[in-house]
Amino acid sequence: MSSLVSSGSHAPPVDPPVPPVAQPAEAGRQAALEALAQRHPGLWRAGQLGRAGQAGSVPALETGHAALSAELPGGGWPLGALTELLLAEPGVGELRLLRPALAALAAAPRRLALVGPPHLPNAACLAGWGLPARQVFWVRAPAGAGKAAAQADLLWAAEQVLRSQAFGGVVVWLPAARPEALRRLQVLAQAGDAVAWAVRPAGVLRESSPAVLRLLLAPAPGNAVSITFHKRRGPVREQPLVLPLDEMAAVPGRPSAPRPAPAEAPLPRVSQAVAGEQDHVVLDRGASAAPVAGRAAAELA
Amino acid sequence: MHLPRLSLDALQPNWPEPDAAAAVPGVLHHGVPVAVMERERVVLANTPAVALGVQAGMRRGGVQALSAQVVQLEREPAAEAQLMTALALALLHFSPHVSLHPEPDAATVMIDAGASVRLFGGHRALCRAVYARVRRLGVFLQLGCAPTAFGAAWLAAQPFRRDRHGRMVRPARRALRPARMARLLDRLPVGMLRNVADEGWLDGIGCRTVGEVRGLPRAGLQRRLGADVLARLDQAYGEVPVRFAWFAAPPEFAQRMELPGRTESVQGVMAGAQRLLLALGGWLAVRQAGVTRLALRLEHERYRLGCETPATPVTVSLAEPSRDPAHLCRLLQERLDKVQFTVPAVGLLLVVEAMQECLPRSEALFPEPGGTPAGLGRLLDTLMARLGHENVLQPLPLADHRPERASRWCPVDEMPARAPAAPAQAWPARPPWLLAQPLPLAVQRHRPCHGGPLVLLSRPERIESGWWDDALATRDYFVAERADGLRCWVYRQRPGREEGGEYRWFLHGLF
Repeated sequence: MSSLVSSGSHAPPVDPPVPPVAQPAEAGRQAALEALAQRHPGLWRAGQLGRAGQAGSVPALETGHAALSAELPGGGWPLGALTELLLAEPGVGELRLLRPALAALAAAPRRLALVGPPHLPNAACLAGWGLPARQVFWVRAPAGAGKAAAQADLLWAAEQVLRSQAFGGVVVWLPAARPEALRRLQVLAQAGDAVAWAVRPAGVLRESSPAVLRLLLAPAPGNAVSITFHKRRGPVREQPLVLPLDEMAAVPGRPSAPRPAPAEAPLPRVSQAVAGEQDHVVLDRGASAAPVAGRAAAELA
Repeated sequence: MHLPRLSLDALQPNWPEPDAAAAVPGVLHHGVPVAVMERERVVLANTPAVALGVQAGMRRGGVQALSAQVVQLEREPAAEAQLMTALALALLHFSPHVSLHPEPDAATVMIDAGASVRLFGGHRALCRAVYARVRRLGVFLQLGCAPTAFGAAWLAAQPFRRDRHGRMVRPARRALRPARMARLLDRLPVGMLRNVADEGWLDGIGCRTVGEVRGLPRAGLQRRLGADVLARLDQAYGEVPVRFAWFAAPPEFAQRMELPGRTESVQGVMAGAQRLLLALGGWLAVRQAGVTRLALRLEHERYRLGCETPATPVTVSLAEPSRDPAHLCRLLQERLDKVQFTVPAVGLLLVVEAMQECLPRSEALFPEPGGTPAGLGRLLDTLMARLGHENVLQPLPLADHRPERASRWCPVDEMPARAPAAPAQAWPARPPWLLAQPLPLAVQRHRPCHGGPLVLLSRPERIESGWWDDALATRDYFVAERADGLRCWVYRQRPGREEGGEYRWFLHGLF
């Protein structure tokens, strides 16, 4: 490592002196890494979470939930990329989670598309959220079409919507889409600056995905949603984030169970496992590495 | 536009993308020496063949003796005629005045683009656009430009010449003023007159250039060579008006082409289909129309599989009529990707099945960031064409207490021009999701269950409405929570007169 640091002949020799070999290897490693990061400000390590304006950052849209934004690279929903939301069942609060982002997009003003939601979106609720009717579009598959045909139609519609670049936010529900279809959506999303959310069942956790961000959403008692970061450009976070939602403040909580603590203490920016022994983290963890796969299967059953 | 290598290009298209062509099996590569034969004589040979010593007029055996690698192809006048038609159709994009040169073997197409020069941004830009479009047909092209049609044809057809150092130079082929054109035409060799006069005879009397022929006494020339030479000279120099037989586009578009070999790949088919799509673009331009449905039929060898093999149709439908070859090319490529090639294709037939009038868009100086309104309109058209207009919706909430009535969605094309103001929200929380049909819930220990017992969180919200339109709703709504935190919107149907006084629970929404 020391040879790597000293080999950068084009940089001014401002880095601290390379520690001798006799020192513990760990300290030398840390020093070398710091020197490297200082010399190349654009260097992003897989164990770091890209902050806005820093290495590894991606253009993003503020989520409106401070605890969630702090855990996402770029500090929000990635723009021009596909975000995957995995749900055990629809209605766990996914739209309430997206509400601040949708409202921000509508105020921009950009158009919003809901492609193939599993239930009827409530027009009165959307109006109450302040989303202008002119900017919200609901695209659904023709009634009476088979499951496969409906999915093909919705995928096609989502591709058209993304390709047109006329929409600022696209939420597409894909109960049975193949990874190739996701890749097409990701490529199309990259061409534009829309925020694209693909909502899929939790069972596809085992498949790899081209999405840059994969979150597993589950309901949590006390008007909250539990978010497991399955894939993100940042350190591995095993514990789910329990995010309280702002909506429904007027609804009293459950009388018997007290409200849990709003959020857990945030993890250090660079997780210990990464800073210590491992040089890299797996960006797209497979099924064996997923701590929640068993739970997801249990929920599905 | 003169095609000096028409007979070769008709048999072996040289596509302008060499790397793409190299990847296509069945298409001969550029490096292969090829000679085109007619009546046992070489008519034309490509550069590698000329490098091996093949010359026009050689016999088959002579070529064989020079090199066994030279591929000898028979000349196919039918394929050449098809290519000329495709060229003329493609050029209709630039001007409706397109004329095929009347002389046989001229391999020249003339277009009168005088009225369109400004539209295409000047002479040079027009020439570049014509060149680029014709090159995509896969042919080699020489382009001449002059105030008269036959003058331009001669300028286009003049061969390369050698300068005094023996290097090949490209002669000047462009003349905008008649004086410059006359000067250029005067320098042309007498060989240009071979179709109307005996060039050997002219050479014999000491005429080397067209200018010298033109300087001869007219009466004597007419007596010895006939009126054709003088007429053509006068036409070329613009001294007499010319009547043209304009190329008339066929009323129906159905163009066919043979692929150069058996093709099983999408790229191979696309390379061929590009020529047809370019011709289609010109044909649509002259009709002021855009295609909405077209079919490409992949023709297969008959009896390849021991039985009659029907052509494979590949249909492309468009909501917004288009005549842009690049756009059509993309659409066709997507459709072709899904085709399973079980039998190699040997021919292509492109048929227009439906078309509409289509006006070109005017260009905007600055593109709008969220797409143009026309872009959104095209997208909605496309979506409605495939999904049906009742499946592309926008919210139009209604002031009604019944949630299923309040959540009204309206097809995009039926939205009122001025949407009514959204009803004021003085109600308790409404869920973002409504179930299409309220789901009856089982009751256990006097509590409704939806995958587990539900705990009612809110006080009841009583909705009693709709006695006037036969959709009476007498319900008490609650926000309920399951043990795992799932928040539901449930209601209890209050006992009506005809029911037994028992509460029935329904799930109506999800938060």
